[in-house]
Amino acid sequence: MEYIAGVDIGNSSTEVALVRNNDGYEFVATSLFRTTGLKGTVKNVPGVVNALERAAETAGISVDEIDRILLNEAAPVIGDVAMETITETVITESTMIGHDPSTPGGAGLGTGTVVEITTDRDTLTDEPSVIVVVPATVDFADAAGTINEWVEQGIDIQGAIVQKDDAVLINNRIDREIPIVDEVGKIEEIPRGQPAAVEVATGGSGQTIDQLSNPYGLATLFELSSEETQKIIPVSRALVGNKSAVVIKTPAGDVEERTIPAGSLTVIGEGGNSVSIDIDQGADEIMAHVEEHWPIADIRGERGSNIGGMLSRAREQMGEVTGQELSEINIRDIMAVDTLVPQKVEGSVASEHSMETAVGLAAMVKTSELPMQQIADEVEDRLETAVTIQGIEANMAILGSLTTPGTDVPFAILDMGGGSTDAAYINETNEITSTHLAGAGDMVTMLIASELGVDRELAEGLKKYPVAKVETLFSIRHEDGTVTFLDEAVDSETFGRVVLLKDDGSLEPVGLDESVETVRRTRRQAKEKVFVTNAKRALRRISPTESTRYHSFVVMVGRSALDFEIPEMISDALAEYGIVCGRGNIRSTTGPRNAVATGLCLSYVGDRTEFDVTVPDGLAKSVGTTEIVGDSRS
Amino acid sequence: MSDTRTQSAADEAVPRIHIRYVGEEPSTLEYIEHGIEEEGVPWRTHAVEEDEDSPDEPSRELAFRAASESGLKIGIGIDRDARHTLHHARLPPEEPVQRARVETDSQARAVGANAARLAKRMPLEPIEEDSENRERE
Repeated sequence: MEYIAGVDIGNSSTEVALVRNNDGYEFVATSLFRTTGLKGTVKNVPGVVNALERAAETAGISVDEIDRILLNEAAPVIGDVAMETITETVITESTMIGHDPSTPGGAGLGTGTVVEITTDRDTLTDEPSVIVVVPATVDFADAAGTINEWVEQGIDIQGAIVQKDDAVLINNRIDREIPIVDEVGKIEEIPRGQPAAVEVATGGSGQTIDQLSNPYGLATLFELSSEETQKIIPVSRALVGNKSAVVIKTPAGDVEERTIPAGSLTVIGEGGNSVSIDIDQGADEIMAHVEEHWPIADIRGERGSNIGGMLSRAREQMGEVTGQELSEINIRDIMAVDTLVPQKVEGSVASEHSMETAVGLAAMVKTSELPMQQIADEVEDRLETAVTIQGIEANMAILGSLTTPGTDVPFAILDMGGGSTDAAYINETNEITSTHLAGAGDMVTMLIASELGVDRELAEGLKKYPVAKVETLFSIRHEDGTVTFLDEAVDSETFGRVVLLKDDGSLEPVGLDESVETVRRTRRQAKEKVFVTNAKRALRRISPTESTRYHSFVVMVGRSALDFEIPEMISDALAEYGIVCGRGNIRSTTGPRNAVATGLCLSYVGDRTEFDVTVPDGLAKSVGTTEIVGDSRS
Repeated sequence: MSDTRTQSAADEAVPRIHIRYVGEEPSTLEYIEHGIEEEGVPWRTHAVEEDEDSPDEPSRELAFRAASESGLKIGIGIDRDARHTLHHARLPPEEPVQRARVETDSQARAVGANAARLAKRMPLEPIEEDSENRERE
């Protein structure tokens, strides 16, 4: 009896396929453990040993009984991501603010001079109309009393700005209906004596303000010139969709949207041509230049920018892995994506945000130096088992993927991981071409994190799981509008919130103000921008005609192929090109997982100890059901 | 019980949050009402005489009874020890939505706001208790 283990060290997980030879080969176990350390370093060994032990346990043997371990020849690929914000809205001297509390009071639109409620009434006789400011120190009942008194004495109060959450309480106690905006935190920063406008949408739910969110509405209220109207566009844009808002004008104040110098990238093609691109030109421009200069020799970022820092970080990491000089390590691909980032408005009064434009960038560095032998030696020492470096990752992935029912050469695989999107194509004569592209799961996480303004951990959850809204104590509404009733009431912390629907059926509340629709749209857009774009890019690279359309069959494998919506998005997008694209099902059992580990075992079967670029005809045909029987124990 | 049959029938028809307290009017009541009012939900308040059989957790009992009578199925119960319970009639009586010893005005206002938010299907605020209180409980 002979046991052979194929081990695939990936960026995030280490996978094992275990084969038993007992007068015929048979897969007996599959296992998975997180990759320890950076892929391609000796630190991977504990993860490899652990994954092997798990596989042995499943097969009911001791890890000592494994006769041979096969490792993939993995060129380390490091992917890293960074974000560069390229616009910034600056409000100097806190001129104009927008605000959207949950319970404003009253309705309508009011304009007037800003006046503190504690002011002596006699000083107000000259004001044609006023907007009162109610600080937290004034009780709502007293404020309402004062408003009634003043109105009775002939002062035209048109609206109120309140610090505490008291708008409805005040509104219920005054005789005149005025718009009241509350929960204005930094009320002391509102300039007194200046003209202001307060608007609260009329009617029930679903109504939004229409004057302050319209630049010409603002121009009408504040008698702005066309030049001034242009400047307040960021303000009116930030107020679109609000139920209430306040805008205050100060003579010295100014709002501007300015472009931050974001640095530049230099793309050097293998032909020696190079081009410098300003990052603030946007993602399309950057990608156009990357495509034009493909294949890329190196990409350099300007010092001092986030992108420049990210590129040198990737270089340094690779230097540590391989022991190469930094000057010898080259960035081989970048992917740029346009995105929006909520940023605190400089000079705001109630922590308003504006959506600023930004460019997200993923970089990929690859090296030809292979530190695999070190790992092989270390594993051999630890387990006292013969270790063979069996073959190139892409070839192994192709071979493993061929065990998916319904596949045959020629076909392509898309291996979608965390750090990079890899692809390989095998033609009729069993020649394999492969590529590594920057941009994969980690970039999606970054885009979700920045667009929704959440931390990475939460963004990771929002990427992996669908969301739902807890509507009642006993029911949740899903993204598609369907409702599920629960047997037990939800916790009070979960009630009314957006929750993640975990695989085990549990609900995890998300500390996020966004609606289910916004979360879903953001998540799907991020996935589409990264994976659909990269699927097309990768397929173009590996086709002999440099055309995506060239391919007929594509099998998706890797971690991100397990995602609940990425495979269908890609299938959908590629269907336009007439490509049959679906998720792999390695050995009819493991889904899109385990392709490389399986490929390693297959390549060894029949005493093949070497595996070059071509897949021997007999082997390609032998996989599937005849010689290798499906994994009966997974 | 001081209210008449007809009154309770009418109350059940109108969707309101019900507040029930035992004995003298609690000082927190005013702030609870402000919390509900700011959220724009109707409510009614109901004083009851001390229960003869004096249950272990009067505020929970009061809250559940208030919730059962409420058209919104939401009730707040306040006992003599300033324990406040927020309850929903569809929940098991022993598992209220929130329960806390309330001493400050802002805590009381949060209790009221939460009752209203429950009706409006909006997330609830946590009711912060002083550490001192928690030790006593």
